[in-house]
Amino acid sequence: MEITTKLVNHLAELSRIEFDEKETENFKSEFEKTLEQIEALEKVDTQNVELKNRLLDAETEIKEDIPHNSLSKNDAIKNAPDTMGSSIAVPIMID
Amino acid sequence: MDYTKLSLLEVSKKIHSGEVTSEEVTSQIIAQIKASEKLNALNSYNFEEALEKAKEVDQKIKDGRVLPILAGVPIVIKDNINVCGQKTTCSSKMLENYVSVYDATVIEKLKEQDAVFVGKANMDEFAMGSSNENSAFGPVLNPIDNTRVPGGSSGGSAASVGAYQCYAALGTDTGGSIREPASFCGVVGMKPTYGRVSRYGVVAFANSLDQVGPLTRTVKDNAVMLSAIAGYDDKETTSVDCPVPDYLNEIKDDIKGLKIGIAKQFFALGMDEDVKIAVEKAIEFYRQNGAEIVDVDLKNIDLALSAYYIISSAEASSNLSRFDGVRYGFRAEKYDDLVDLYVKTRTQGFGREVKRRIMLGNFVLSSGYYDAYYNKAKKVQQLMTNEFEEAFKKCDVLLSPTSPSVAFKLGEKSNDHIKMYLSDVYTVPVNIVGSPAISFPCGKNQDGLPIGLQLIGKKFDESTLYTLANYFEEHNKSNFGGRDE
Repeated sequence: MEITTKLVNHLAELSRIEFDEKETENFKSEFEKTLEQIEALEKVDTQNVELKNRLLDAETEIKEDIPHNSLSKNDAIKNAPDTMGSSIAVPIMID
Repeated sequence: MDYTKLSLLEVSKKIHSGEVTSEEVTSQIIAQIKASEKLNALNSYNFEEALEKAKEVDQKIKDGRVLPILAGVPIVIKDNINVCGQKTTCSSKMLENYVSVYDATVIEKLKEQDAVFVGKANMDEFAMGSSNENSAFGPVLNPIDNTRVPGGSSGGSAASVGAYQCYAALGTDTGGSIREPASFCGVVGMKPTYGRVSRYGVVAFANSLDQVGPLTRTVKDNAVMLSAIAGYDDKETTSVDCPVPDYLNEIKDDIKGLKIGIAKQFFALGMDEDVKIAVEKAIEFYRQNGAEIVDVDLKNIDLALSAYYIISSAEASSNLSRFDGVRYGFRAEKYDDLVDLYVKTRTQGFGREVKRRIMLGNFVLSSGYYDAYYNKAKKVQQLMTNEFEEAFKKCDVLLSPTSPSVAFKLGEKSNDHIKMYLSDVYTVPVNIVGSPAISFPCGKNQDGLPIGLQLIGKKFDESTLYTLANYFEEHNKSNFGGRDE
């Protein structure tokens, strides 16, 4: 499959990552190699494979809904890059 | 006396019998960490608290308390596992200054045992890599040959165990990240059954494949560690509620009648000649000592890597979307608006390999490609699971090399990601099917570099893996115990 600049830009947008022109070119050729590798799957006949819901053989139980202590407000914002009082601060979204 | 070279079980006995204090042992370990700092195995140290903890354990011993095996024993934790009050960086610029505000369940369990935490281990960024060269804080050096990689992504954990900086380390394994570095550093690494160990508080790479496990210098030490961390956790919905055996007591002295499956397809995947010779010798060793060698068929084993990169990247791309510069971690200094804050933060905060996998993940999940890639990979995963189930009807364990080569040179594969991915060709299928697997040293090549043997077990049958691995160790002691001094 040919990887176009348009596709790379689209994926970069979905990923919220920026690439400069050189990085885009590098990424295109790397991505082509990766796809070559994973396209091996195309040849496998999986028509009759029934997907099971989970990997586990053992049953997992549904938990009872019991309230319990969680992180304190202070702990929850401790690692935030910017805070205002007891809240996390972000740039203004609506003027 | 130098206590750093002892095994975990040996040092524990000496501490608990009062022959030596945990404080003395911990001090020697700290000195060893400082002396081997150039390996870059640890991202952060916890020396003061470690010595405090050691003194606390010594007091308990003086008071005549009976303590668990791990009490007073210095341990290292991979830097993607939360230890409250300590940094958890995932070796990424994104989390460079992140300080954990709670303990992972595995840490709670080790704290209940009074283990001593000496530091957090370097790793590939967000556990993505096979050589530890993807760390934002520089590569880890292999303790046996400093010009070579220690393997990845738990490279710091394996190197610290191999270099006597601790008696055991925790790692995580999504596609081989415990076993491959264990193989490269000549130590023992266990990837438990998916669901055996809680992932609560472990920074997720690919939730359906990740599993925490121990790295140690001996098989018995490994069994002790797994008993300590395994078990159901109501905070983690994929942890399985089934009893945890005392793995140390479950180790048997006899391997007669155990069936070891060999898939011819394993040998067709390509491995170095010295690896092949060592693996064949190991097969012969088991045969001569009463195990039965049987042929099994794993027709689609060569597809595991492709399925793995699709599934793991898809999960990683959603997991890593939480790193956006808002709630925690790095935030770019300059940006125009909120969306630009996300973009600049992620562009500057993530390394190259992480970006590559996020992009691949978003590709296989995006409209128009989902069925052809992601759905197809899930079906191949099911196909392989069925194949392994069939194989395990004929045998108790499967045997293969851990990696097709010994530890390679730093920089040798860092510019060819496909070559790098192939280092995990034997380990990845195990995560795909959810089985447990152990890697232990089965020999050395001409240059003295360790070769790892992998045994893969039936789900929740880690005990048979420990029995077979321990039997090998008992008869081949010179392969074990870390680097030669």
